[in-house]
Amino acid sequence: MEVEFPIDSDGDSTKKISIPIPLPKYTNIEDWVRKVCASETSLDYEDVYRKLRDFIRSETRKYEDSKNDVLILSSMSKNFAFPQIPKDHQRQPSFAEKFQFVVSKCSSQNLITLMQMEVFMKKEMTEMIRARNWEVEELTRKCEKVLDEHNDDMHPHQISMLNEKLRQVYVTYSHQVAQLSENQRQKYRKSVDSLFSHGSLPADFIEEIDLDESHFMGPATNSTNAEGVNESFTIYIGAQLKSMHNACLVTVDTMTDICQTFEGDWTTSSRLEMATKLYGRNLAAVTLLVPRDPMHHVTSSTKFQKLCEQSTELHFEPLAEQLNHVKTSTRQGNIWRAECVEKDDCGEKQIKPQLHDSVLSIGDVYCTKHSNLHKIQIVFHLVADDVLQSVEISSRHACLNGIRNIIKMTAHFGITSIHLPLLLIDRPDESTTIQWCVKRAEMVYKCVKGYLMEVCGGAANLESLPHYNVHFVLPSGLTPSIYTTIANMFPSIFHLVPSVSITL
Amino acid sequence: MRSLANGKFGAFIIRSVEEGGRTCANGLPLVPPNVRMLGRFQHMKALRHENLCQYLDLFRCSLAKNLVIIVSEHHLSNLQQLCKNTNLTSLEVIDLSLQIAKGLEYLHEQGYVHGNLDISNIEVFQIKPIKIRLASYALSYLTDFGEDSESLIINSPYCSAPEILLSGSCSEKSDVWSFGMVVQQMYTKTLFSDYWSGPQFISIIEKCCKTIENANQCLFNTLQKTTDYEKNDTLEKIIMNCINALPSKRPTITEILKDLNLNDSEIEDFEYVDINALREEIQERMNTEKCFILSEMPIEDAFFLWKMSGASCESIMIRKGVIQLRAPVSTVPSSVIEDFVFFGNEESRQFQFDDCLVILPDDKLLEKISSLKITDVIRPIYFARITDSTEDIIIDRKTSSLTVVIKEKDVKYQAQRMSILRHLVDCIQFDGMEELLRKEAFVDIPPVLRSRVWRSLLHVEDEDCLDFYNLDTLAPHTSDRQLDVDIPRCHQYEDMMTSPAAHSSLRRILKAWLLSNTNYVYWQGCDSLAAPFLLLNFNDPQIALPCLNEFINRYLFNFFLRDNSAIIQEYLAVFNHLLAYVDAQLYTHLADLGFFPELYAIPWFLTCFAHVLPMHKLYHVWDYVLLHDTSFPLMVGLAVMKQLRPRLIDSSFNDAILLFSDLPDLPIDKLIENAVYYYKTIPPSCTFRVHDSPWKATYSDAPYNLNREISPFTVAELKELNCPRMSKDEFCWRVHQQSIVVIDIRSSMDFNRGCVIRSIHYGNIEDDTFKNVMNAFKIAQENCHPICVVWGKDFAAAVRFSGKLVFKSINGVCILDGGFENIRDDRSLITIGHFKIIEL
Repeated sequence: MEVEFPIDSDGDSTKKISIPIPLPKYTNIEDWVRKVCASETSLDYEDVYRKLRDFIRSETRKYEDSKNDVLILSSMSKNFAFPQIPKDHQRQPSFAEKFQFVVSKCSSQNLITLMQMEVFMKKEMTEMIRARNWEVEELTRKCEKVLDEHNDDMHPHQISMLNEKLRQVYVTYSHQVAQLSENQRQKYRKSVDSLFSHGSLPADFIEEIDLDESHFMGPATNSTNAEGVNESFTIYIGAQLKSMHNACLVTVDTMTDICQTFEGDWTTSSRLEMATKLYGRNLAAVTLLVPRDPMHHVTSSTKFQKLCEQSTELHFEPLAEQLNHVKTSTRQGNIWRAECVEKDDCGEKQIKPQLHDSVLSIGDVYCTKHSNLHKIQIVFHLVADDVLQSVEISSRHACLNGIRNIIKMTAHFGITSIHLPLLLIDRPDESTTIQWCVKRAEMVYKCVKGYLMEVCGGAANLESLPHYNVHFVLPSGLTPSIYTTIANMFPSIFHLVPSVSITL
Repeated sequence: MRSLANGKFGAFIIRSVEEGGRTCANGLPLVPPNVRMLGRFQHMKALRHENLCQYLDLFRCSLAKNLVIIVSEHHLSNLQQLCKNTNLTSLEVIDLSLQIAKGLEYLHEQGYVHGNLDISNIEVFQIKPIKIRLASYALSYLTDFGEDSESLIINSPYCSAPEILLSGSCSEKSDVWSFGMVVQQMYTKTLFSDYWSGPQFISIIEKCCKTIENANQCLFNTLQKTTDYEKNDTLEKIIMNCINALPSKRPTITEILKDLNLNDSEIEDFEYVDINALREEIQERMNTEKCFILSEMPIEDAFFLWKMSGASCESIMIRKGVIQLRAPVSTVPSSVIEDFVFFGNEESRQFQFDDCLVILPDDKLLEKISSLKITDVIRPIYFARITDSTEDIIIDRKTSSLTVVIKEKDVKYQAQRMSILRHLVDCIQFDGMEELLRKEAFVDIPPVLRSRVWRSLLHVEDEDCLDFYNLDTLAPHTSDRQLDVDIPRCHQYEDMMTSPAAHSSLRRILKAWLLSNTNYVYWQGCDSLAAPFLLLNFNDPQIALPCLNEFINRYLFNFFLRDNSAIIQEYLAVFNHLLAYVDAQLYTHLADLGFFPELYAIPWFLTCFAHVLPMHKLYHVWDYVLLHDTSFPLMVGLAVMKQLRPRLIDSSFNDAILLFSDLPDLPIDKLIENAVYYYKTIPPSCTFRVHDSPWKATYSDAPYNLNREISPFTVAELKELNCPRMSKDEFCWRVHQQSIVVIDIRSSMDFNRGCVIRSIHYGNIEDDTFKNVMNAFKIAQENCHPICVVWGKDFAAAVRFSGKLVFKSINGVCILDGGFENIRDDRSLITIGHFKIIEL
């Protein structure tokens, strides 16, 4: 609504200035007074100010009165909305809170016993998984043997019999594994509860722990990758306000390897480290590239899924359940997307996402949390497409938006260490040429730098400048010259902190 | 200026809506709702009224991301408690109503509504006579009428108007309703919350409002539990009018004020105090009150000190369990899509907090302040001993010599400095005060007083502020589009600068600047330049504008002309000469690379480093800029070069470009120390510029007060030189002071006919060995004395010779302006028959 304000000077009352009521956001009365004063010389500012202020006030009042009169008259038949009065939230402490309490307050002996319990549980689980794997392997070999012997003239009934047997073994074991997981989880929770409430562990649980110091089997210790790059830099981020960060270039076979727990990694001390970090603000995260199905890890039984299964997830839900939540939230996300498209029909042709579709889009990120991976607590799953492997992409590609979201999440959820696939591919193939790699690396470097600037920009105060460890991960198997080129490119994009003090 | 008196600091929490899910314009990150609040809060901080509790600060929580904490003045007792414990007379009720109405009227005049008035948030700060202040006001403005906040900020339903209960829509008239309800509780001696629960109360309102016309009567009758009170027609009439169901039928606060005032206009009476009695009273208080200093301190100052004296508001709230944090790992969403929109695990991201007011503990502050002597803080010496040296003014020599960053964290030191400087800026009009202020400002400027000290140093008077009032900043301007692009990108690491409130204020100031300087145009960088003045005078654009104008007039004179190339080019050429003067080796290296200041220094000088340094560092640099003449930015530039020197000295062209494109973090103390050092050692006339500002700093001491005029050169001519030139006056002064080495390159015949006393002759300039003069150069450099080349008719020879010296890495080389001809008439300088050719 616009109202005319008569500028009264020299009796010339025809001159008017129109003023929007209510005043637009972030404009004030003074702005309009100055407008009036600028339009007419010989006006007294104070005088105009008073008049205009009273004028705007009474016009605003009129506007609000009529609005609220209508509101009251029309809603007299209905009930008043009751204002939300803060409820007394006497909630029970969650497992996470109890655990934090236990870690910070319990005697070290108890804590060590609890950690030993974890180690023991891992041992139990590993043994079971190994037994399963062995049996399945045996059976598979047997099947193959039978198949080979009979060549092609085997009765279909026989084949299905064998398959059935194989399936049976699977089912039995998966029941057993689930049973064991559940047991361990219950026990662990009970122990934490008991530590929380009486400061001691249930005696019968302690007795069960049977740790012979002999090693249990796991994948062989990682022979450190000799090939590729392993370099680290200290960098500055920020145009005016600078903050310091670490950046590393690392080479691994696949991204999943970063979370892999090796033999000897699973000790009471490493568990203790996890216990103190898990609920803190120095989390570590890794980024995996995944296809669009949210249940991919389970349905395809990926390497990552196998890693998770090595031991019971004692703190969070099992992977499959977490992924189920992802499925639900994907559906919610797609509904939200569809609504957004409906809302702004601004001619831009957008493919309307299908409602109730629980398939992720390229660039979406889903998150899972873990207490049983190697020094990693959060895993970001970035949805990538096959095209990414070969085609050149622009900085507006959805995947880079995914990386942006990951970096923003890093800032948001107390993550200080993050692993990103520098080339946005898991394994190289014939299309990964030198030029392609260099281009891709440059693009991701630059984008990540921009995103880091974005998250470091809004630092709440100068005392707590953010500090991140960013790991750029390269796949193994590239030609050595690619590694050197990419490593050499780094200082031309990021601003290195000089190793020597530059002040004289 | 309100002093803290017996007030406390009260803090409460508002939850803002979660980030994300909103579209983002022009590729910049979306402004989070809590930053939007931060911007608006600055306006609320400026509200000052006897009957309003003052707002002090708004903090964005860093751990509980979407919470903000608001701190305001707080008093321990409120009107509700007062009504319970005291039997108010109807006169007292009228007086209290008047005070409440005055507070509301002020808010309404300023364009705010209280929106939250309740008998429990009217705070009593004095008992005899009863004085009250309103609290928790204008929160609807802060949260953009609920747009930016998630928690409803309705304290209680007892005083909320029906339209607020219906839709949260508050207006002047809803305040009138609340006012009526508060007055009724006082008048009828019935505290609603004693008799009805919230839901019960609302059903009463609902029932009564069904009959629109008689709602007020119905409410009035239903809501009095006793008839045992002193009847008063005026009050009853006001209450009846206020609690009308329809807003349009309720009176305005202005009208209510008239009714109340008519009834008793003599409520305000002045007390005359005998000066001796007052003195005794103060003496008495000083001796008995433990926290006298603190209670007499301006409330903003006191809170500033509080912030330095202990834990942050957020950590106090967390420790007290008011904010209940969750471990970040448990709050991670299931999925994140598009522009940072979260899905899954929503509940865990809702930070729980208690909706209550927390009194911030002030024992640490008290402890620190009470260890100060009153005479440490309140120092009358300024009136008694203006002419004395500053020796005894600097109280704590040990602290004052520490770096400014450390000093700004020292509570006791700041308390003293704030008191001294506030005293000085308050009486700046008196003789000699400005000089004292300058002396004090050299020590350091307390952050809370920076805006006023800068204003005084820039000589911005009240009448300078009037210009602003005739500038129509709403009208479209040709630079609008550029402003749209630049403003959201200006100093974005600073929270406040990302808020829409700051953006609109910055636009206001920049447009006003353009309108008041029609010869200037908007150059990119003007935004950065205006930002410090905006932040220091957030609610006073009329002060920010003349400060900016004067700053530009002094240090960036004519930099923003449509064609500013002559000015900038000259500036850079002079800078380059000065670089040769202080660091010939670096100058030579960069000259060899062809790497000239044009490639890196333009944004430095065009914005006086505002585009290069983060705000907290910029403040300290400008603190010094404002205390020096127009050459100081050049010195800062040289100091930056010194910081970069180790990396520049063997750099290639590309390295250098890269280094300057992304400057490293610059240590501010070193920077300032070096800049001041250069200012003291470089001959002032070497900084002469034809296009310099007509404004001149006033100096009483040589060589700064000497005439710096030298013959005007074109930019092309300047570029021929590899070193600066010295003015005649300074040359003469330095010769007499023996703080110069004079090299005479005229022929020996000319030299013998008459030469400058103590000058060294070096006739054969083609001789590159400098064998005979090297030692003199060494001594000159050790003593930081300039080496000045005196020449006869052949200026080109002087240029060539000085260039050779510079390329030989000899620092401090300059050329006498006008050569020997310029000084030959000064008998005191010339000696004849000077046969000794080399004198060491």
